[in-house]
Amino acid sequence: MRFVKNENYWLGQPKLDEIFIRFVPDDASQTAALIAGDGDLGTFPPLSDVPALQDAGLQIVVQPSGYQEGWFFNFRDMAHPGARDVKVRQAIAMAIDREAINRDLLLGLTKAPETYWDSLPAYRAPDIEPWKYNPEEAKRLLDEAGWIDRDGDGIREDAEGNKLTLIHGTTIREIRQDAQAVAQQQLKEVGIDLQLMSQDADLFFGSYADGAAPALGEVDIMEWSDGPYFPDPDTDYWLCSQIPTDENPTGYNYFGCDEKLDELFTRQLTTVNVQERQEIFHEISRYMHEQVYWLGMWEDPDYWIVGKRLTNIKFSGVTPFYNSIEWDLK
Amino acid sequence: MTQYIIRRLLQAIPLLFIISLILFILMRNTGDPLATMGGRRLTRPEDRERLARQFGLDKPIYVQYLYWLIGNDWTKIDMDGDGIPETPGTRKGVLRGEFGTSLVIRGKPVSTLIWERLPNTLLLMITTEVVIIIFSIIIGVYSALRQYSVIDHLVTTVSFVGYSMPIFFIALASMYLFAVNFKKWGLPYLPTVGMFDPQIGKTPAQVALHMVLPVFSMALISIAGYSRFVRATMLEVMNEDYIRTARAKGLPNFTILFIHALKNASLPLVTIIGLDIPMLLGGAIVTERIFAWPGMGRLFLDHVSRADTPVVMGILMLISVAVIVFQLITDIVYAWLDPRIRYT
Repeated sequence: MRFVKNENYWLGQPKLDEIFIRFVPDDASQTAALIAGDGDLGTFPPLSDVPALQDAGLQIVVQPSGYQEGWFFNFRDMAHPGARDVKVRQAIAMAIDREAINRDLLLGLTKAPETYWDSLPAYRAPDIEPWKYNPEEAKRLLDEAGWIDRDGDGIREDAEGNKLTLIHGTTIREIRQDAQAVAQQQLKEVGIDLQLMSQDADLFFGSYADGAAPALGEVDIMEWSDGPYFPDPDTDYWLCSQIPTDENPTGYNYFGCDEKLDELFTRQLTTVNVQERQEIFHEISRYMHEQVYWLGMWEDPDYWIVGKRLTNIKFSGVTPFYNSIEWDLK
Repeated sequence: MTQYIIRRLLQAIPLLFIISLILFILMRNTGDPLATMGGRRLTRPEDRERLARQFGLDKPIYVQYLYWLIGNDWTKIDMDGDGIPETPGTRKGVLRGEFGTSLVIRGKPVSTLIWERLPNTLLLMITTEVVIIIFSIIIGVYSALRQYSVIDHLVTTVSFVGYSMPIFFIALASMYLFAVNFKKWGLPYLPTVGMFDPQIGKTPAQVALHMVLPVFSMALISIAGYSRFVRATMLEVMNEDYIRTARAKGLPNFTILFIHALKNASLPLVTIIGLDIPMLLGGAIVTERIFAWPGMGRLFLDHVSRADTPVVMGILMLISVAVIVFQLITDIVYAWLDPRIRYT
């Protein structure tokens, strides 16, 4: 794809004559091409290649995009009783070392968001206490909730002998699969068995009518990157009316119906006073955080790799190439 | 022979129909094209319903197949979702030469997408096939004539090494060696990805230069396999009575080798090449992906991963027709190579 400069642009002539965009589907090839100098700008490198790119003198730019990677808990009737139990969800929030995941898997380029509205801080309750990594407290909560390892196999059961085995589903994106494996290991240490499932995006995000597992409620914890209707804080994911059913096959509340949450989300839609609406979102974020309906794993920014020749380049999470008129080559 | 060809072509019609039906059902059950249309978010319910109506995905699968086959310009469709069909259909269907439009690149005809990529793929794949045939014949014949020599053992070893290496490894290793490291070491180097350097433009020299690594990667594996094949068949033929007779008649060695021996030894090779050629149209999925070559393999992969049924069906039907045609051509070439073969 070739973009040539518009000589009649109202802000003046761009410094570059043209920008040639080449689609390189393979991550390793993109890394090789950038290191070899066959490109001046790349995007979304595999994080494992970041050190090699930096060693070659390329700059990694992390640009917040408003999206956040998180776990969506399924608390519908068909979900595992553990996923529906708030104490289990809270224990999970404390049993996963999200800071370590961000530090080790994401090379410290990101941090774990605490609420779904972290990218819009005005709408996040200011008094929220982050879930800290505390496996001992997680174990205590699980004991208190009646999930105890009765047969000594390392996995907890409830009084009826149902094992605390939860299904975690996501897409085949490499970093997600890596994080899944770490979470599985950490949850095992507190007696939770996490069964991993990963599918192509066109299967995983399929509809109820297509029989996609998340839509049918067959996955207890779902992971992907998402955010409110940025820059507006609204989202209709948790509305009870969005629960997918035979009558409403395109509904996309795969998580559950909480009447208090439904009332808050419905109320904010018709609240025009900015401050009042902000307060409703503070209540929503506080309540969802306490209930652990969503658990933030890492911010999902845009990553850019800038070559040595390219200068005056800036990015935006909304319109990435907004200052391309100023881009120049050394 | 003419009767035979006509009979084979007529037999192909129901065969293509069955293939298209099976492929269509499989494609429509291997993913949801609307699932990834919401960008990073889940597709909104109202968008999902609107898009399903626009693409005809709200219809039962047999109706979707019928529209794909014979079009929908004979009926009306409900575009506004009020339950009353009001918009006349515009699709002509495959039987009238229209493969529909892509669901992913909305509104773009499948035939345009394929014709944009097919020349790039044919350029890459035909060059590779020619390199494979030439080198495998040279290496195979040489190894057969110098059986158990040092060169034969060396070729055998290299063949097994080449054959056992996966294509993605050869492709990435060659890219890092001949492009990245050669440049770092100050040696003449090859380009990494794409068909040409945008600063120079799409010149024949540029395209040829960018083809070196993908052709090398693909040819290396196939030469390894094909040369073993040529060697084995040549060894068999060279021990035949008619070769001894040809030698006794005092024919030149070149004539014995390339007119008598190789012609007969190439019969099994023709079968393999006949099967290979239609697959050339499908491109090389891994190689095109690694070298960012804008060909059919990448087109297929990009669209199959998003369940874009019209584009995938277009590519698969093109390959199916090519398989049938080239199998017929292979049979005809058989009769030319071996006069004992007769078709009635």
